[in-house]
Amino acid sequence: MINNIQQTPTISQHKRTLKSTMSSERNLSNSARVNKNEIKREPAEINFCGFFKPEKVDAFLKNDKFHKVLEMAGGNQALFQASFALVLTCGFRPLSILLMPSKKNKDDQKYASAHSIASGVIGFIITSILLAPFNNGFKKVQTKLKDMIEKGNYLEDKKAANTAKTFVGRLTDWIPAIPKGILTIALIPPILKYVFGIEKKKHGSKTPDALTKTDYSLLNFKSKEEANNKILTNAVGGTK
Amino acid sequence: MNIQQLTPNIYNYKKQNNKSQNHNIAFEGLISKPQFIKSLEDGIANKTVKIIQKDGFKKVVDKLNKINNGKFSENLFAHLTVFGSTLLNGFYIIKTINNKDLEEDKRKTLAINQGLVWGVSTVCAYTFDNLSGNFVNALTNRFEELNKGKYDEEQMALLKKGISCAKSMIVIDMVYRFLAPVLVTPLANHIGNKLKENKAAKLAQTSNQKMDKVT
Repeated sequence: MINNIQQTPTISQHKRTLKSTMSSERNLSNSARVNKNEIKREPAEINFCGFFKPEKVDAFLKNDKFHKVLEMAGGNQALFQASFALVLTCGFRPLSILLMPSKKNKDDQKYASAHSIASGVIGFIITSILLAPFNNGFKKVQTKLKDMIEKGNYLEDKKAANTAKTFVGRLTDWIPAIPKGILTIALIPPILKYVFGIEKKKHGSKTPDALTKTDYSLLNFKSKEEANNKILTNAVGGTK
Repeated sequence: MNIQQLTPNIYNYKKQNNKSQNHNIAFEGLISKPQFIKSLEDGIANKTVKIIQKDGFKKVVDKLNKINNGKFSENLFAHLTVFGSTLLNGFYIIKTINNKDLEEDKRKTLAINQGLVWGVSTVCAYTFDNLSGNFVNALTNRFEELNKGKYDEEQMALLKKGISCAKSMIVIDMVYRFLAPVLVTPLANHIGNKLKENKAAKLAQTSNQKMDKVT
């Protein structure tokens, strides 16, 4: 009996065992923390809804050619925009215009395609050749801004510096906008003629509207100008 | 025999010499920039710096940073790109209004059509730009993690800026230069033609009624 009592753990003994188990758990958690730091964290994967494999996306993000494109997009925005516009306006847009089923005249579709190609080509030529000194000049501004900030200026504020840089960078997009538009309109006829082999109808040739319009001078027994001002001119022909 | 072998072949010597000279000339011509272009670039840079230092420019920057409690300037690149497209669209609208080759009615209809297409495109451009924001942020973080240590801080900042700028330019150009002319314009034309047909039918009806009264 006495032996049995001695074998049962006293409260103090119980406390001791508890402490030892707690300390061992602490040691375990500490070692786990150390292990956590040692583990190299992999970057989170992006969900592409199954369109692209993550490994391929990673390889693309590591690709040096892609980095060069990004460098151009960050440093020479006007050229990047003109290059992307060239792909759209000379490839995707004319193709989709020509391939789309339309009730319209085929010539209209060709005209729209020519307009697209003209705007793309003109935009690219103006930006990459004529505006190249402006683009390079604005690039130099970015380095000069650093000296200005060091000397003490309102651009010390990071937000103000970013706004100023973005504003200056976009000037190459605004300055040529209207000359680009004028040149685009001027270049449509030669592109129509030499690329698509169609010539624009000359001013004065009868439009489809004019052909379907009824001459009411005969009905009213009056001169053409006078008769066409009367009520009957409001009637629209059935073929319209 | 030996003498012949030792004497230099003048033809070959000339050929080699010319080759190397030509090669150098062509190479230098491709790489170096004419001096007047260099001075033009420096002139543009200096003028621009002077403009940036002016009080008027500072005021513009301050105002842009204060719009909508600073939120406007967070997406400034997209706003300015949309403004560039608006300038070009506005020019085409003015050109249409002043086009003497078209009838006056047609001019108005076309100009309204172009204006509506611009409006729809602008709404679409901002919507797509905002929708792609989270995805592009995740892509930027992934890009930074994958290419850590490859570039210094400044280069990495430029590449990250490149991602956000490319996103805005691709989205906005895609809308204004592709979706608008390929999808929105035919839709606007269809609506415009329907309205024109309805108007013409109404006019015909009223003229018929007037004719009945006369007879």
